[in-house]
Amino acid sequence: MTRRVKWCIGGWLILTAAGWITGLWLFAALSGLALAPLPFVLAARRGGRADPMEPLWAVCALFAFSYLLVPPLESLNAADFISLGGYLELPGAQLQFATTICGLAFLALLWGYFGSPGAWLGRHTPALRSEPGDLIVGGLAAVLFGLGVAAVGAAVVASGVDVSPGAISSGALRNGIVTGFAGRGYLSVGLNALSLSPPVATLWLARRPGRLRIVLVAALSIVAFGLLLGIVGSRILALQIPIMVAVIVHYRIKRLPLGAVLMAGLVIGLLGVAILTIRRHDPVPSPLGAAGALGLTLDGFNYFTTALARTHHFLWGQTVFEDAAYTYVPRGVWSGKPLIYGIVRAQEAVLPGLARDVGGTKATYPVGIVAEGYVNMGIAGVLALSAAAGALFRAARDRAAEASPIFLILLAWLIPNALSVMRGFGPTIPGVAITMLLASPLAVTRLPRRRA
Amino acid sequence: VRAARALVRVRPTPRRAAAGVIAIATLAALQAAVLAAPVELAGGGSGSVRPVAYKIASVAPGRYELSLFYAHRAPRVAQIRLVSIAQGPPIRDAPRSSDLLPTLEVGASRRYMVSLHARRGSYRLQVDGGPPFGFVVAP
Repeated sequence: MTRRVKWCIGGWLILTAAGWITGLWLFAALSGLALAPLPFVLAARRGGRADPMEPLWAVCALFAFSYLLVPPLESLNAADFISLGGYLELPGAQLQFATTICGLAFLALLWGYFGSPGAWLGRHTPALRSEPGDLIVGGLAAVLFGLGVAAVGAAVVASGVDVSPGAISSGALRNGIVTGFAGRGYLSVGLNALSLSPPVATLWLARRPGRLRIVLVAALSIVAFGLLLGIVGSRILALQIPIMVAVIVHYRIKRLPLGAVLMAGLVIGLLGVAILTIRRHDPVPSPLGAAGALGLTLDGFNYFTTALARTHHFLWGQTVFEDAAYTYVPRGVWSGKPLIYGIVRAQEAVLPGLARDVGGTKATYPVGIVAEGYVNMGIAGVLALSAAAGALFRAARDRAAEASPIFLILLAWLIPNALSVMRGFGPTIPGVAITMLLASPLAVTRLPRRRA
Repeated sequence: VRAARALVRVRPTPRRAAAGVIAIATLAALQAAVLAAPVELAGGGSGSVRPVAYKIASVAPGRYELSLFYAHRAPRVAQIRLVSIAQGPPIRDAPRSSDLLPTLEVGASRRYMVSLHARRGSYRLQVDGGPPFGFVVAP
């Protein structure tokens, strides 16, 4: 352990102890900030050139904001950060415990990424090294695109809403599609295929860059983006397209400079905060209100504090198992498939009755990876899921760095989905499985030709 | 399968085993402290028969629906009784056991709803003789 690492952890321990000894919430709230520089310290200690597309940055930024930065900001004005008034609550004793355990969870996340779990998982995951040919990569991009367009068409037909500028701008089409998805969850596989087609097409472009290929890939990406944002109304699926394409360009065509990536990240972050602030309709926008607007999406700390107050019986991995096993089982095959399972069950354990209040499963309020771990296995679950998330990202990066196109696609999918991972680990498992399945033709090795 | 096999082959050294035992004991102590920590609900009250949350919803002018949420595995509620009025006018239809409407079990939760007529004020209920539980009606 280097001196800088010891300083960070020592500072956190001192502030945490001061919080418990004095009983002052401020010390506890500030304690997590001492750990915030650790990702930079550990990355610098590892050596080598800084990689701006490393998943570490997205994961740590989201985790640190949700669980280390929100507590001190919340101590200034908690009301700005409560996303579900009347459901979430912040009792004093549980706040103290929550800040301490969130610090431990951040250390577990970093251990999972930099330590033995990530390296071990990377070593023991099949490498799936391959060198698929032009036909396989280009054909896969076309098939994924076709599958996605067909799924969008089917979703529009199921919605019963006519496609018109009015229906799109009013949100009627999006609401119709969301309602039409009931019992047709398999259509989401097609939408995932559509969002994966641009990065696969970029992989095809990387094999032999040329003007015609650039035009084709750009056109496919724009159409996929437009369909997902305009027709389906899925901002997350649409916005992950440019990020996934950037990851492929970075690792296969041209390394993007650190400054450019930082600027792009800053612009995207500020844009997101501005949109969320406008949606809050604050009469006088303030920096704290803007941070609170972001905190309403990244509200894992409040869910965790509430979970500490309300969860006294653990679910022993039930929600993670259900997410992994139930999600893509069609109701046509299993008529008894529960409406409330997986991450929604975790939500009900923390916020009982919320699912019924919002009309069944029309909306999900993911409790966050830390609260999800707690409702399943207490503090051990918190540490296990945090370390597992770190290890998952590290393993995907290690494998993608080798000649493994399927893991490069997985890495490209994981980076924009870091937010989803932070909001719930269980739903990530079927997400990873579907991505690997859709990209599986890339793992087909093209055997080298034998010389006569 | 390969990862599971590798996990089984792990042979901890005595130093690692000792560190593991200390870590597990520390975690267990922290977990016990979390579970033993008193919980102060926004509405007041504590104890094992208290709801984990409550919610007041306005269903008509002057008419409210009080929902009491119970954690899964909590004992089923048999009776809810209005024990005191801290502030505000009396509730016309004070909740009685007959007003108790057990609703569907939703996932891991249990939820009971009581319809009541009130304007504004803060009230205290008692559930199955447990500690009083406060709630606030604020239109």
